[in-house]
Amino acid sequence: MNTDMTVLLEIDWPQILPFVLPIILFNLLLIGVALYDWFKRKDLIVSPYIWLVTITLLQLLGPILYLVIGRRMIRNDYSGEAS
Amino acid sequence: MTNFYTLTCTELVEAAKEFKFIWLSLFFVILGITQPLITKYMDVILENVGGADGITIDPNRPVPSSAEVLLSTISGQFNQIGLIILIISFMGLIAADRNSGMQDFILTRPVSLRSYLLSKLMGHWVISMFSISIGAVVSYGYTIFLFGSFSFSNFFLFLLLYSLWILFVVSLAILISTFVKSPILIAVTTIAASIFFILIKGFNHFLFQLSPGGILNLAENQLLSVHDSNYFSIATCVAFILLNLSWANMNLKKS
Repeated sequence: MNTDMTVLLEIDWPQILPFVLPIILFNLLLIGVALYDWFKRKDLIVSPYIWLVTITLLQLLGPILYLVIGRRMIRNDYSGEAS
Repeated sequence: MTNFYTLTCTELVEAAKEFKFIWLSLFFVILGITQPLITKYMDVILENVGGADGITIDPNRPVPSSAEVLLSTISGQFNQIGLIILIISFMGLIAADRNSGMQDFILTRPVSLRSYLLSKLMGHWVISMFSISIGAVVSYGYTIFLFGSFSFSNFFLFLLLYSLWILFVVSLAILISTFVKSPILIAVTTIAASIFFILIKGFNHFLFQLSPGGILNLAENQLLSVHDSNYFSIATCVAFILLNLSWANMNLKKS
């Protein structure tokens, strides 16, 4: 992840937009699917907020890791409601 | 054969409930469009987001043909990161059933072991090929849009042969999951084995052409329109798939 936000201002957007747009769009769609599923089962899975960070911040790999691994890790007792 | 049909349908419904069709297709579409776009717009990307001045790309460089771009998409993206994600997505195909006791439940019914294994193979193959086909077709569209035309029949033939390789990978995962218990270990072993097969197919020796990776050579030759291809590797690939399945059958019968 690139954290230097000032770079974004220097990019020549009109030149780069037409081909960056589909990639961004599909990535957002993937994140959307993962977030929808996360929202439905955030009371069930182990450490839901760590998975939220993973989904939103790790580009492309995060949503997939959540959908493959994260959603299967079901909490088996409800003692730790706080986490 | 009705058992086989029912079990396959169960696999597909389960995958649909996990949105597997959606996100696996999205993943392959992203992989498929990234490669041609980066190849085409490399100079623009370097100029704008490189962060390093002074890098120039030779303006007289040869523009890659659409066949080369498709080849690099498949062998560079689909066959590496795509294969890893694919294997991780079906690493639990038998282990999950066994750990939850579902396998015993199914096999005490009048269901033969063979139809159980075949349904696993078929179900996961259909899921993978559905996603890979969508990704590959979108990639094909982008490639002919950016780099010029390419015959669709060759591409379709390539996809057909590539699906055999995916079938082999699924059968390998089934075989390994009869040996190993933990899903993560199954994934790691299957990834290592399939990357090993991808590596040894590069050696230009008759013996290596007979390895299951030889089917990939044949598929890539369809894209490059090389005509002296070794069609014998289709037979060896099918033979390897059957060998894997019968070995898995034997292992499960023993336990």
